[in-house]
Amino acid sequence: MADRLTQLQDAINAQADNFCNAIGILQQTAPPATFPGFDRAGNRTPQQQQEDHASLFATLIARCAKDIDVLIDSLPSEDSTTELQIASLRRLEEGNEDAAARLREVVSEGELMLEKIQNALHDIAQTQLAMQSTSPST
Amino acid sequence: MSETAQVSSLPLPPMQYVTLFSEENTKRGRTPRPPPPITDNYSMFGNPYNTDDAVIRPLESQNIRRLYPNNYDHRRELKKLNHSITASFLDLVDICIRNPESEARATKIDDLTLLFIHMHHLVNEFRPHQARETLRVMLEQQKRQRLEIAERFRRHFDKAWELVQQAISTIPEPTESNIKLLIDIERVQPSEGNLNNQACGNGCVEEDRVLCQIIDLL
Repeated sequence: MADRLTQLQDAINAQADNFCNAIGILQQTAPPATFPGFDRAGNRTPQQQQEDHASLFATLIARCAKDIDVLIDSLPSEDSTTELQIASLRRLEEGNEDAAARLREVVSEGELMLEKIQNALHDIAQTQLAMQSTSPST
Repeated sequence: MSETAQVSSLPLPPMQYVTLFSEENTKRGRTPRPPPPITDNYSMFGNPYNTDDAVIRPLESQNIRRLYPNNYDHRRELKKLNHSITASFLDLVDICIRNPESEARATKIDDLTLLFIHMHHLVNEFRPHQARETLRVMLEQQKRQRLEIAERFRRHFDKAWELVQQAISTIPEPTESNIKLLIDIERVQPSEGNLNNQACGNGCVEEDRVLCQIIDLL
């Protein structure tokens, strides 16, 4: 699922393709036309039993145009202008720096406590070793 | 897409450049310097570029006729273009029906080309906006994540602190039997103000003295 702008670009290109294909195929598969006033008996009716390319392409092109309209509607309006965006970016950056400072602070506190606990564990382990060495029976 | 049996679609590595970065050269510091940043004009894949170009949107008035006024609403213009394109196509088909060989056909096709180019240009003008928006969302997400992590870390920290305090408080009071052991431990490693040792260090010394006095009196 691409973003809206890419979808819009793809839709525009698809519309162009539709135009080209429509004209091309209709021209290639067109039955010979009759001359007005040059009455030839017989085959007047173009074979409508074949796939009705004209209406198919018409539907496709109309649908594509509608899709493009809908996609255009979904784009953001001019309200969020550049200045607004830049201002909010600046605010966010400051907020981010604050959050980073807070995180750094908490992490350093945690590291400190980790160090203390590790030292305590170290002491406890040494104590146990000492106990075992002084009273080997236990 | 790289090497097949016959032909590689990728260019060969520039061997005469690569050999300049041999072992000895790097050790002696004689490798070529990185290329300096380019200022002003340069050409890429045959197209000339300029570093002073207005970032992503060179003005339409470079080569192409402009069809919309100076201060415009993108969406409205895009919609008008969309309708113009469809109507133009209808006209084109009409011309093909009536008089396929007229030069009006070529003109119409040119019109269509122009309209499509305009449409793409307007869509491209949205791209910087999208980029800034993406940046904004990324920053918000980052900030939220940082605060969340700090919050969770603090909670864990508090829990751990509580556990340690609990553990300290459940250390049994030094009784007569284990005072001697504590004295030995104190001699074994000098305490440097660590949590545990501090907690029992002072207590031991105090009660140790008291009990020694009691025993002496006996």
